Amino acid sequence: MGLASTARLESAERVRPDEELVAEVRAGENAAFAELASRHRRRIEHLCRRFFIDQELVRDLTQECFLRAFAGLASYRAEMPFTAWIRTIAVNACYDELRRRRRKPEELVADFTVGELEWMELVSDASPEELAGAAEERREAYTLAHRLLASLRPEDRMVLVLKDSEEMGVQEIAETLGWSEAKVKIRAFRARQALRKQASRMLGSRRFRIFK
Amino acid sequence: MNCFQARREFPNFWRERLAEPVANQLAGHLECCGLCEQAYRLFALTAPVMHSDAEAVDAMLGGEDAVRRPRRMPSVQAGDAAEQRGMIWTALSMLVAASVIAYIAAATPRESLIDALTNSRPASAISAVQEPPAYSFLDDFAG
Repeated sequence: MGLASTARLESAERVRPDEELVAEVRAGENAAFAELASRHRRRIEHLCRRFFIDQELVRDLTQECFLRAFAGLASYRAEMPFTAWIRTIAVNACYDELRRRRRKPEELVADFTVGELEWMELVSDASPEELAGAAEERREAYTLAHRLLASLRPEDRMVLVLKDSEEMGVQEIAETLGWSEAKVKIRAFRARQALRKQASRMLGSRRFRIFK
Repeated sequence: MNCFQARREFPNFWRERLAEPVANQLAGHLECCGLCEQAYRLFALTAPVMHSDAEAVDAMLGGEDAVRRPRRMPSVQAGDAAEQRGMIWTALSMLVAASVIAYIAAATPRESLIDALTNSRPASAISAVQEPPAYSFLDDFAG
């Protein structure tokens, strides 16, 4: 194999950086955007799933994020990594949707399914090592977590997910949501309080051991 | 391991990504610290959404396929299906038998079409209640 063909192969196998693909899209190569989308789709979808249990909605939101990104690619600045930029778009899309869906926090409805009650029992009684493994394959663990998080105000839920799940810093959250850093800190504190209150209400009403 | 260190490791403990010695330390801490144990159980309530990997969420939803399309209702078991087929056949047989009986038992119309149209007495009724003809010559014999 000649040097030239080896170089061609290496060039084909090289993972092109996002910024290079963005430049291609801006130059009119729309196919490059398909590669960008397939590269980031799963991560964005997973972020949306932290807010919404409806898989149809998650797919719609993910698609909307990429449409917004495509439409706004002209405003993209290379100082910010594309990953962070598309995540900001997704966060704002989810936040808009959260606020659109619920104007005020709802009380946690107490009509739990048998599976959800079994999961609550496990959370209350199983050893910490067993819990993580037990959650897998249990859809109820997922639905119950969504129900609990859905009882929070949209801004509380948003700040919790960004801080704990996405592991974003206070400054980064503030920039993403257009809030002050003080507001992020206050919201995070209140969100944890609200979450604890809702969890104790949920489990306390069933007389589970942990929140007696 | 102190409480702060323990709580910082919750997400990795949940994802089972901690090295064994650290995981053991954390488990030991949770055994002896009631507040951290309670915090971990609260954490576990939201962790399936907040801290699970995409693959773990797929598993909870019933595989990657479940994310792509809505879950189907559980189908009936093979034994149930055979039982259902038997019931359908029984119902059909009963329906056919009932139809045949109804057809046979159906009374022949007492009126003919002409009777019905002319509104005269039905022929069958006439034949059934027909009185003997009044023969005037009999009266003569009777005297």
